[in-house]
Amino acid sequence: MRVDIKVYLIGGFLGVGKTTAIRRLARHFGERGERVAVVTNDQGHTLVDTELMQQSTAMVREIGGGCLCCRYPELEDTLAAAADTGVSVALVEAVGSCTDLVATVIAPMADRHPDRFPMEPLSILVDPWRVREMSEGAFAPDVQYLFRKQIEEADVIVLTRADLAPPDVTEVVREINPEAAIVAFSALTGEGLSEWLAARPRRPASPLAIDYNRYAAAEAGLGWLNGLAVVQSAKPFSPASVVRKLLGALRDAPIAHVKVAVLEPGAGAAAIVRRGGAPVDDLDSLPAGTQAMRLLINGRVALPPHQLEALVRRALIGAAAPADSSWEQLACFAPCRPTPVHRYAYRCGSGDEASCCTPPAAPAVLSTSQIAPALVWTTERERIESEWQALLEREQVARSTAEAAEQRSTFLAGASRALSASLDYRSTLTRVAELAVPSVADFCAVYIEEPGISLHPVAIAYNDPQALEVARAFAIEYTACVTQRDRPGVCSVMQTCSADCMDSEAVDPPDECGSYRELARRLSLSTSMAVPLVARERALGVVLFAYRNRRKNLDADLALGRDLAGRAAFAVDNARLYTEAQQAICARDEFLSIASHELRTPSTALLLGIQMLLRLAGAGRSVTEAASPLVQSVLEKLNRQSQLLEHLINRLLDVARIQSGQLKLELEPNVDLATVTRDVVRDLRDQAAQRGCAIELRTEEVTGEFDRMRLAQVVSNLVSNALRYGAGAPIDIAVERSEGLAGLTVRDHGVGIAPEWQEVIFEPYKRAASARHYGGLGLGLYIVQQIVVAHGGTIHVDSALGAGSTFVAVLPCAARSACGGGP
Amino acid sequence: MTGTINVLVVDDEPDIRELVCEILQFVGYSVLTASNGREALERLRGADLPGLILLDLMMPTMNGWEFRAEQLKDPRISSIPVVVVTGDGNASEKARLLSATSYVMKPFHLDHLLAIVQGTARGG
Repeated sequence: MRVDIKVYLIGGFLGVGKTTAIRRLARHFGERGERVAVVTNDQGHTLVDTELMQQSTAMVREIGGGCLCCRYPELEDTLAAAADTGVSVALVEAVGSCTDLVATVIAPMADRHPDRFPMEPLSILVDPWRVREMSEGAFAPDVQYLFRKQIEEADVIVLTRADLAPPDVTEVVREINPEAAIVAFSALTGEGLSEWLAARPRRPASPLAIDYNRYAAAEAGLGWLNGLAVVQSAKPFSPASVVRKLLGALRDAPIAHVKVAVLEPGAGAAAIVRRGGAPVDDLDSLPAGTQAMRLLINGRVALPPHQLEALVRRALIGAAAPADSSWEQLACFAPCRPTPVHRYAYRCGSGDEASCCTPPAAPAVLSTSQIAPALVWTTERERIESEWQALLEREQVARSTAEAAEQRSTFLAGASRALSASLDYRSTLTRVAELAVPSVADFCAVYIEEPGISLHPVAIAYNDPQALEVARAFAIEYTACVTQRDRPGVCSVMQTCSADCMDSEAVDPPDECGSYRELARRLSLSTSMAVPLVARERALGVVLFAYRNRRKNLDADLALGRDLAGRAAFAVDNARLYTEAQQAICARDEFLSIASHELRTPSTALLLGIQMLLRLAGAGRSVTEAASPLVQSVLEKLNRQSQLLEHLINRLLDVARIQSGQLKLELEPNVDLATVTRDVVRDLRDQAAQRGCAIELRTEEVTGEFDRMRLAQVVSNLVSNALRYGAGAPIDIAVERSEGLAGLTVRDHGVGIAPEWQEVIFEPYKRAASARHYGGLGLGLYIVQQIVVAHGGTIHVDSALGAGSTFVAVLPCAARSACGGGP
Repeated sequence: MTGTINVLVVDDEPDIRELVCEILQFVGYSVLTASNGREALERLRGADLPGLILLDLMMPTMNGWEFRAEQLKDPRISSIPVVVVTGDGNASEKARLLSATSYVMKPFHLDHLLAIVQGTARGG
């Protein structure tokens, strides 16, 4: 039987002094000619224990990143590698918050390598004072549970600091684990060492019955701290003083323990502070003054990682001051749930060979109903484990995919809710940008096209609100610069309605875009993605997302960007439609109010006049004859008002015809615009005289194919408007011909029209002047324009407030025939 | 009986203004007319003040609201009762805002107009 290495597995709660004890053991075996390897273990890396061991022992291996049960294959590899270099004794130190070592380390090792790596009894170091603390409830219940489980699974219980132990501790411990051997040991003097190594339990401990949820909770509650710090100063400082101050600053925190090892200057100086105790150190070997020191720090503290990190950063700055301090490495984390590679239900190969592979007395994790040969059982177990592992991996992949999908749909649902919250589309766009950062990208700008304004940014968000102005400048430069270049920019995305992604090279612009490049650099943006805002197959604008880092999965980013843009476009479209609908409703309401007012005048006159005539008629012949001039006057008014009523109704009908596309022209050849104009002006002469307006009429004969009645309507409307708004000043009317076109110009010198109204006045129901002062339906110019356009012509206005208005209508004399001028 | 009472009719629509004038004259009132608020104030400069003002609201140059504000500033004419004559659907509210004595909504019936005038006009 080939024995490669005797393996001593040593556990014990945090801060019990495992490292010191193992150094003492290593020295003991070394003195007896054994070649010793020490295996340290931690859930982090950068271990004080490893450092200390390396300074005193020939060979130290570190198993980091998880406890032994989770890193079991590494333990086998480490032992095999040690065996190859002639190591005969391995001292394996378990993490101080680890337990269930029998099921997860000792039993698998005894099962898989009973000959190469025979396991010595499991030694658990126990601090007697901690036993008392635990029984007094000083720790959280889950931590007490863990501590008790460590004792329960020990083959040998090693009471440290035994000289100072309170008297009743042995009884307490024996009550927990009646089978274990109990020895006392002093790491300082080495007293009790041989008793420890000779100790054997009454019966090897069985795998624990343990609740992994409580075990995991206890682990997670004790945050890990692993760091490597540097302290420097031009003025020499005392390294021992820095370490003592550092530990002094941490001792009031809810620590299990904190260890510090000084790497430079000197070697091997270390200090530890445990819960409720004063710091213990051997720092006297350090030089009195130094200008630089490096130190390792490990700890277990019952704090969430971020609080722990803040605490230790503060503590170092305070301890080092006035010297400068910094961290080369600093990791604070909460340990994950322990997931052992193996977990045996019972223990093989330790002591009594006959008991090997007996079915477990304790609750079995993987039990078989029959006794099976060890080899078969192991193979079957491995197969089950590998299947289980594969299932677990598949489940994890599926779960992370499902979680990503759920996050995405939660984000998009939130976005939809936020976007539907407002019908003001500018605030909607601001919400889009705010939603995108930082969930979708580091930078987001929304560009929109509005009437009369080309694509421009209206909402911007950036990861760092302090740099929002730079982000704004970048958004503007992006349109200016990227569009100039021969590659798709936001304008092209808008035109083609297709998204555009740029990786870091493409985002790096040519030299002529210096300011753009500088802005992108200041914002650290490297990748961009432009997505069109499309609603009802119409591009409304573009959303630009940009990222600080190169993207791992641009397709997924693009899909999310598109989804967000799609929802945003929908919201913007809704908001715009709502605004347009509101404006249309306002215009309609105003029109109805004006139309009813306009209709009331003739209907009032008709009602009054007719009732007056009826009264006269009823008063008898003599009165009627006497009132003859009055009757005449009333009838004239009735006639006029009936015509006004007819005129209003015709205009309303015209609008109805135009809007249903039924305005039909009755074209006649050789209609003279000059004649039509002269006739209209003659009919309006009374009205002009009433308003005190002189009309200056200048005409050239210009015949064409026109609808005579509609043309008269155009002239009449323009001249009536000039009279109405002309403020009593003279009105110039001109009819001219030039190159197949007939021109009509009507100029007044009245109130004029503000620039912003000059387009609008040709829209239905729109009027620049106050209805209160001027009356009218607000339909005249709309009808005029529609008639002119139906003739293939154009109409426009030149005006300024207070400087009068000039309306110019130009009509082609005919589509097919030349304009006739003269006989 | 009503011959001594003056009524001032203020309306920018000539046909309405003249019809109301002719009707009131026919039944025996003496009538002044104005085509806007400014003209109405001029008519009120004379010593012979009307016992009632029939006031249209929407008029050029000076509208009914502006006229009413001017009227209330001048203690000589501020107490002359005003009947608002308007096509506005919310005539009663307008009349209340203008502290008018009454209102007539266009289009109105002859009898209604006469009843209002008779009920409101003060003897002069």
